[in-house]
Amino acid sequence: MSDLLYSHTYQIQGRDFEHGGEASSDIKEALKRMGINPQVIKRTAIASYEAEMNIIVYTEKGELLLEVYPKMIRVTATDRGPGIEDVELAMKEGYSTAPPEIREMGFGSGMGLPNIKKNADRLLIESHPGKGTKVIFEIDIPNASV
Amino acid sequence: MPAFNLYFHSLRIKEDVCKGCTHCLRNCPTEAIRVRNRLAQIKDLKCIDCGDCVRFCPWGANEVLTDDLSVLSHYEYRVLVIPPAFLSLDFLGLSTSEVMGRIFALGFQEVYEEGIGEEAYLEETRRILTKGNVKKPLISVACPAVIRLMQVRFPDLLPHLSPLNTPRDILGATIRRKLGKNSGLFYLAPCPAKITAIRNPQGIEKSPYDGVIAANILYREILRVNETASGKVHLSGPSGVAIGRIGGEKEFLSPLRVLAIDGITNVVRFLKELEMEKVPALDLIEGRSCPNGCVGGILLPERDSFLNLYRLEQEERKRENAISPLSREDMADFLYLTMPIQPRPQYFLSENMEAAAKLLKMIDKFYEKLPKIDCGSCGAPTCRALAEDVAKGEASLEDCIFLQKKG
Repeated sequence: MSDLLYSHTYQIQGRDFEHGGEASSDIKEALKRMGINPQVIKRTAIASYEAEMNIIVYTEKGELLLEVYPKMIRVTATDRGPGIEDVELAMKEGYSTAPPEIREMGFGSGMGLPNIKKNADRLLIESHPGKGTKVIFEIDIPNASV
Repeated sequence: MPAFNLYFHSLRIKEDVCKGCTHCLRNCPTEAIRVRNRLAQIKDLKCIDCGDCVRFCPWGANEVLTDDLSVLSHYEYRVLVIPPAFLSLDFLGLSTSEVMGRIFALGFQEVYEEGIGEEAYLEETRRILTKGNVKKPLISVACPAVIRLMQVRFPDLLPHLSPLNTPRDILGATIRRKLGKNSGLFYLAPCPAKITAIRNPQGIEKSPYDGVIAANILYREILRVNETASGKVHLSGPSGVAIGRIGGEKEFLSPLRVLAIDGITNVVRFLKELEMEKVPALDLIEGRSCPNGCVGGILLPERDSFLNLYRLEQEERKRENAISPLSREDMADFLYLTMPIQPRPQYFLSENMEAAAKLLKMIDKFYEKLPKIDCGSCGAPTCRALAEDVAKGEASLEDCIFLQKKG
């Protein structure tokens, strides 16, 4: 698509729980300043947060790419982490491979990918075990919002 | 965009006192201050009148616009509404009845405590939280700085605002209805946010008050006057006193799930979490801009909010069995706001998404060049804020002293 209005890449440091959520918070702020429909912002922010936390919990490093088009928002989360062995299983609510110490911190409850799916209009997951994961989701902007 | 004068503020910078330092700049919760030519300036559209710039100014360079007692002469009969935090002050040994006597000597005939409105407000809040169809968590409207913060920074959370009128205006409108034409109704403000709320009300067509006086002005006069007169005093019960401190709504709405947050930056942090839906199931947010609630108001002569809090709690205990002079039924006509509370337009970079995106790209570009240490030396509170000012043509990248050094 050539009508890209805005794009920005947010770097995410794995295991950095202290700053976890900052990238999705910045995404939310950027969309708010553009005057995008609050419902769309909320869904994008929640899905982005889940994608960001997946990178923090399971990988060393990754990034979120935000792209804003006139009629939709696309977020691409890329990492070079362990990958997802069974994507279908990972989509099931409550399924998690997070170790106990991560769960003790309140993460890894197996709701991440299902929550992205719930909030996005389209979701695509490309994963190569041992190499990394790419999660792409899109959220449509309704016509003449507000 | 509306004209600037639509946004009345009760805060002003005294140009002859301001040193152009960065204390206010760094502490403003809405990034409303810029220092230009060694002088702090307040951006009208962003300022929420919380008064933290006054709190953090070491030079006393911020002033608050208020009426003085000379306005009383326009009216034959004068009624004053006082916030509970006022009776938490140390009047150098004067008893409450002596304080009231001196207020009457200064020209008032009747004094009501704002807490009387709070009692109806709490009762109605409990009712709508239990039975009504409201968007939870509801956000209390008792603190006007919190309302304005939401208009400026959290427009999408506005549906969470309580539909109720403020305790101050519930009581004010009830008294106003009883008063004749030549009577004046005044509010004693513990903070600039409440002055602004009366001069430029949100959610109601017109304020029931004819004037608003800063608490420290009346306090000085009370200590000075040294004579008493008689008049009518209407004090509230214990829950009405408790609105003067943080946790009052929480305590008197028990067992509803109320979260109490004081300090405007803490409120900002919480609202960000609420936006992301990262908060537990709650019924009500009791947010207060000042530390410890209204007892921390910057127009109270005693700036130590903990001492005020202590004395307020003593007062609360004294009122344990007191009964409010007005019932919910007396105030029933004024319990709800009559107009929607709108977002402030400044928040959006442009009305048009494409133009806003273009501006945002420019901001990103300038921000990349800045050192990202938020030193404030350029006169903007953060590097990000400078980048935005540059993109809007209000500042220049050369204002950054680090870029200047690089040459």
